[in-house]
Amino acid sequence: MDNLLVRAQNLSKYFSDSNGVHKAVDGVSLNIHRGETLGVVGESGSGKTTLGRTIMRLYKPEHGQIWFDGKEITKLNDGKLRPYRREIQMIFQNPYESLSPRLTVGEILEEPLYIQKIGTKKERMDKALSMLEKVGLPRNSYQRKIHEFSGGQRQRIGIARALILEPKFVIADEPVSALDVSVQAQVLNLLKDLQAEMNLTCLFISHDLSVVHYMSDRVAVMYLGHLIELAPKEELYRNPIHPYTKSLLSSIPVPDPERRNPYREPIILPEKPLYPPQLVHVGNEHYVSANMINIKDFEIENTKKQISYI
Amino acid sequence: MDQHILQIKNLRVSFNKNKQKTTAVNDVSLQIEKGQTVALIGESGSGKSITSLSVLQLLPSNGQVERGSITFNGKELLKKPEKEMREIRGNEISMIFQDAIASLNPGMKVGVQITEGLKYHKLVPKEELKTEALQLLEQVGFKNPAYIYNQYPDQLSGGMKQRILIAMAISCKPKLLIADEPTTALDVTIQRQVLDLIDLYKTDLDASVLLITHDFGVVAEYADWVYVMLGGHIVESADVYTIFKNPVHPYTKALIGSIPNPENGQERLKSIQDYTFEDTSYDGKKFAPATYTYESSSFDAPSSLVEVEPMHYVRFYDDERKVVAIG
Repeated sequence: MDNLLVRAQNLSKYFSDSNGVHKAVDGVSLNIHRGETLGVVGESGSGKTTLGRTIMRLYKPEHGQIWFDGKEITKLNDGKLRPYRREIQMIFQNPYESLSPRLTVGEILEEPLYIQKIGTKKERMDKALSMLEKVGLPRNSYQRKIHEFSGGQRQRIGIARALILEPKFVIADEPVSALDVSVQAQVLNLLKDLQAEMNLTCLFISHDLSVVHYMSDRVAVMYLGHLIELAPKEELYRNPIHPYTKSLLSSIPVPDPERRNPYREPIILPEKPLYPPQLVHVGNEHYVSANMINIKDFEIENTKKQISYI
Repeated sequence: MDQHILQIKNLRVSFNKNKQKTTAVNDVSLQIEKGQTVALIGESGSGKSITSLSVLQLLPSNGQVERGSITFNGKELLKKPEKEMREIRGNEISMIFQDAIASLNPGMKVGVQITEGLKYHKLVPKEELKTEALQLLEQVGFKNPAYIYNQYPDQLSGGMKQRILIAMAISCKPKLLIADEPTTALDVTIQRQVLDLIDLYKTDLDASVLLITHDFGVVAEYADWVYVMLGGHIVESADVYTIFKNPVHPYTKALIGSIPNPENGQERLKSIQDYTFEDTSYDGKKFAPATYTYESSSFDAPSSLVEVEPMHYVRFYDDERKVVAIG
């Protein structure tokens, strides 16, 4: 089990308001291996952001347990969590709102170091400057303020802030959804490079399946708070089983007009089952929610496929 | 030439801000034929929304059309007084805005909102308005129109609000729909539903659509003809097959190259920096002065559209030396 960096078991997070209890994340179990990127896809309201924040312990889960690096962090209080904050960092969705407009970029970058009591003033500054270089921003950004930067540049600053503590695990929550396509490509490439360079493990949350495919090793599909399908990316994109995953995949616009298909699969949005689904293993490290498939049908299909491979 | 439902010629729009004039749209010409979906693609700030707002004369008060003409069904729109424009807006040309939340009245039931156009333009009697509204709601895919009719915008999700806007836009059966980034804030499954809905309307009524977007994936699925905008100019235009098969302008290449595509398993995304103006040329012609970058938002260097193959236009920079040589 040494290969596992993060393990979540039966994790649930509920929110309640005047309308009653909303189960944002309901009975999710997953493992994240060292060095891998696990992509999480789902629509708005599917609980993917809540899942990320609960794993990071920004929320206290209602049920379930979380292990990080072999130690359980489910019940730790804020003070005891502080050393873990250094190891787990988050890149937020909206670079316009997640960075303080009153601080200079240097202050934004040095703040985490200051809180964790790392280095002298001079060392912190050197570190911030080298981080700026790593994310491809000029050194003179150091004394500038956030409003002087474009969306793509702000997201680079957000990434620099998350990585300055040299974390082991990064949660990227829709890091490119506020950016134009061409800028999006730059930021994704940067993230990929830094990930390889710093040997990061990553939870990459996005509603864009193409982006998740580009970034991830394995992909988890969330639907109405449940984890419904989990597989290595090639396997999932080649062989989706859950009807919702199929709908998601067939909805991606294909950037090729020659292959326009007016007869696509209809969109199926199944109702939320009462209890969290049990995931079953169907081969090739592919897990799918048991109450959504007819296991027998699938087995037949699967054996057929294996024959065709031979 | 009477096939063109909308024709824009040499449009130039500028804004006054702090006593300084900036040109947002420069020498833009485009045409939409009957039954066509035309995509206007570009990034934020490229002038695509301003172009569409000029068609309806809805420019902000500090913006003005300096030059050019916009004809709809052969009639010049720019010379029309406000009163006549009102007869056209929502009736013959209607618009679906990007921000569904901001475009609906929060204090009014959505069922009542969608019939405002019918009341004004078609003089539908009061008693029939509700039946019409229920039909429209059904047409845009609501399974329980009677329930939705009584909801306020706050009670609906983003995708539902966008469908309400579509119902509103198609209520008077306009011949031209302008959809300004209709799906930017929506999830993929909803995006597909919304775009399919617009496409269905277009086919059923033989109407035309001007689709404004920054997503080449959406363009590939729905458009017939494509105009690429950069810095207020149209830099390339062709039919959708040509533009994907043989893009010429580096900016078009950059936009197409930067889409992640799960099918070709790319190791690395191309980004816009991989397609600079420097050293790039086509047939000996330059696209822009070498010092220009994509961030130079306004292209003031003299340039013109050249037909590089039949019905495929690309904007090239008019090299001064050549001008001198000819002159």
